[in-house]
Amino acid sequence: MTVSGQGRGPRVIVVGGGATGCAVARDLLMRGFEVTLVEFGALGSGTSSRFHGMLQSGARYAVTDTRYASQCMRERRIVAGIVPDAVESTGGLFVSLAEDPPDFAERFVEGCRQADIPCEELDPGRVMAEEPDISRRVRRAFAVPDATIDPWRLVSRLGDDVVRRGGRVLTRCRATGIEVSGGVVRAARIAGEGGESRIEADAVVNAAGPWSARVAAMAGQRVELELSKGAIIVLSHRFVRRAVNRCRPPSSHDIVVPAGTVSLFGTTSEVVDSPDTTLVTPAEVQQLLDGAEPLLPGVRGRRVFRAWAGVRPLVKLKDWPPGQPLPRRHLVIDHADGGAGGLFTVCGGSLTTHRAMAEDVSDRVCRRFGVDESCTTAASSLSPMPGDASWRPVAGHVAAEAGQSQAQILCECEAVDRSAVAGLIVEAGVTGLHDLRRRLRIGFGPCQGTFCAVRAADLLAGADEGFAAEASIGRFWTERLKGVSRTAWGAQARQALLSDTVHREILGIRPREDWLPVDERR
Amino acid sequence: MRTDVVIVGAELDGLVAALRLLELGRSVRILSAGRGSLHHAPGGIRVLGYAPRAGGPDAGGGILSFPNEGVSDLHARHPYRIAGEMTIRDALEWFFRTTDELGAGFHRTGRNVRTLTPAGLGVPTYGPTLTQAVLHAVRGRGVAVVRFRSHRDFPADLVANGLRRRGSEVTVVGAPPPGHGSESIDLARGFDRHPDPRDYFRELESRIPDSAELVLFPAVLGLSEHARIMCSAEEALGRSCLEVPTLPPSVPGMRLQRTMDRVIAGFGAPVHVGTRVTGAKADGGRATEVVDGAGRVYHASTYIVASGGVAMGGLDVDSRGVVRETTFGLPVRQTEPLSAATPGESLDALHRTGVETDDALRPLGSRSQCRENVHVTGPTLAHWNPAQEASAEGVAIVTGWLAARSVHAYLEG
Repeated sequence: MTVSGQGRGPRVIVVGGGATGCAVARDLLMRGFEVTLVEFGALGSGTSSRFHGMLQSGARYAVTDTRYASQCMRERRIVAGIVPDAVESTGGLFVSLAEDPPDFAERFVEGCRQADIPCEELDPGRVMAEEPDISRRVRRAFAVPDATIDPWRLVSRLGDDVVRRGGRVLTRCRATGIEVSGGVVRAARIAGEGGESRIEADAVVNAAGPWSARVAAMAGQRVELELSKGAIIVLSHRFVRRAVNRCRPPSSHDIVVPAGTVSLFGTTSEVVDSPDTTLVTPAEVQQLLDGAEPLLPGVRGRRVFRAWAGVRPLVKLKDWPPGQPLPRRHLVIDHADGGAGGLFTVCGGSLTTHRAMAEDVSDRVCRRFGVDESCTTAASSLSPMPGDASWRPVAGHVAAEAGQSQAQILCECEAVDRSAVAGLIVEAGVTGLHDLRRRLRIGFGPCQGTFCAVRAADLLAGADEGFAAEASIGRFWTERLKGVSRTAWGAQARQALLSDTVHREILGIRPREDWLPVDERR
Repeated sequence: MRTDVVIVGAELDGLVAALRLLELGRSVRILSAGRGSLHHAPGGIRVLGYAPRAGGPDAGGGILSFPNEGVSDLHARHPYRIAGEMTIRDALEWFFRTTDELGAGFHRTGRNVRTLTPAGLGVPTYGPTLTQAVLHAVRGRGVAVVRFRSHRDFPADLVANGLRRRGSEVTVVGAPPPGHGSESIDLARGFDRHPDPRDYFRELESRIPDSAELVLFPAVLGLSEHARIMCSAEEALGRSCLEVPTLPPSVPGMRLQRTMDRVIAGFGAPVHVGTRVTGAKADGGRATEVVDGAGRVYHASTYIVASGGVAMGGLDVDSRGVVRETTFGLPVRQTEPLSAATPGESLDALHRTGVETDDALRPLGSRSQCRENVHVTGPTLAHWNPAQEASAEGVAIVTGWLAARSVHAYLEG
């Protein structure tokens, strides 16, 4: 197989189109490989978009894993430098409440120092004045350089870059087999809408996150992961200025993060068997609310837009003390030792360290093929314009209020201009509502797409006479409802019913069970 | 401030109950926090469009040709089962006759027809508005779909897309707004105030292709002057003109509401919109008063709770999934919206949760302190799901009418 635009370097198939897989594809392309990226759903639709949206300074792990913490700090700076338009430098706060272990704060300060994370103690009174919605029982508070990241924007920038460099990106395609003969990887079988095909390769990089064990098993290899499901709730309004953590050993329900126009609270942590477990249970929502109350006293009176869950792939390190929560650091496995030369698995890690993960596995691939190119991804911008301003999530609202775009607002919740949607459809050839959502955040706000999805579908129908309106709008609604139904109390219960009225009664769309989006039915 | 009846809620069920009681010579006061779900209604009268569910809440039944075919399969305490077929028939007959007399009539085809939706699909409607596009009248013909410039709540291309699939030849035609503003209500008022709507439509005529036999508009052709605007359009365009619902807020829903408001006001009955009932008192099995947010007290011999269910705040769900009836704290038949197994079941529970009643629509349940003189209507009742059944207006009319009859009988003693 030859793809025009690519060099004649060794052929690599990257399995998994999350942040890590996309970054691996990019890194290998920059070092002269021929790359095909295979993703089951849409780019970023797995764990990469199913977390609290933090670009970690590492402070969260300063006490429990200093090595990982310092890596986070390094990567946080690098990522903010190469994709500034996806990163918002909100800053982070660690607060000790009255009931938190008092000695932890000292260990926290020391851990940050060791990990080279800037950490400044703040006056608790000042912090409570600046963050009026958090607990009034703050005893100590520390500021650290945490940031937030829009994972959709990061992944779409990475994906665009892969394509621009001549890589082949196959979304909605599943790897179904890896052929090994003579102890060496020969090809992978890929199933997509058009059937199954065989793609020859000299190497396969398994960057499938929580699905890594399944991918490795296709070549008869074992990858030991602990799958940890984390549920998150999306609260109305951006009511904290900074990402606020409890200053205690990292645990469940201890972090609230400002994200765009909303705030995210998380997370739960439950060992699960299947990487496909993304439906939040009613009990998890109650756990989150109970866990949130000490930090956010009024949380049960707040409107919650939806809940979602992701599955973290944690590496089971052999030398890790038993009983301790597993670390977040990543691991590269060269499966040559197990009889599958050319197969590499990169697992563990986090979105913050995705680039470093890609660098490490790419180094190993280079070594195998004697390629003497070093990694340059840390210094190569992903943003369309170098030096682009950082992400300003409320920029649309500001423009709308200034009267600059009022008549053309398609999504009131996220203040998305109609021309932005039309531009993506006409110029970028976007054909689906979910892709518009990921790129423009339509459907992320209080109404969860009740109005904007229909307006956007109208634009899609105008561009394509064959547009499947009923299924597209129906699938979009079904996917949003999955998260909304778990938090349908108070105003959001009313919203869920309004959305039902619009879809079933006004539009005449009747829900179908097979409308759960592809990435929900792995 | 005493009346025979206080009605909490000004949606269709409350308005029907009020009008019927006024006709029967009773004094009525309406207290309403907002303007209710008529602003979300596509406009026609839906009675029972889909066969009751079989195979789970997501699996909708087929379209019913006649609403009464499905009634016996509904839940035993569904409002239609409580009312019974005679009452359903009498209530609908009264409603259609009354609205006819008020000049706000509906087509009475005696069966369900499929009305055209803004997604280009069909939904079963028993009594479409006189100007509402019906699928069988549109399918396979040459059609122009008008889109007013910057009107974002009418997806004309989705309408066109759906009609093309049904063999129609469709052209989407752009048109300037008739006045200032381009939200649905602005367009309707723009037509109401237009000095001569025929001029507007004569100008539009040049853009309509010759192949178009009929012209579909978003349902914004006038609010108070709807009939006159429609006549102007048909006269100037020389074609039949029909309306397709928009996204909410819905002008046809507002038209019906205004008609009902006008006739209720004609009886001199006070309608307090923006008045949220925040408390109530009961004594010896009877409700004695309700209190609004400003502390005003309203006394009546009987009360009708027409408060719109979960969607309008008549029922409140808290973060633990406990449902509360917000006016009198009536016992609620709880269907666990937050712990349902699937998202579809969760929505279904939000619809079906509500107050269970006896055959006179008085609340059941031993905790109820006001069983005797409180009646419940519409979405605050348990065991029905308007979105799944396509039954919103029908249940509102039947339960509003039945509550009026029960109240009247109670007051007769």
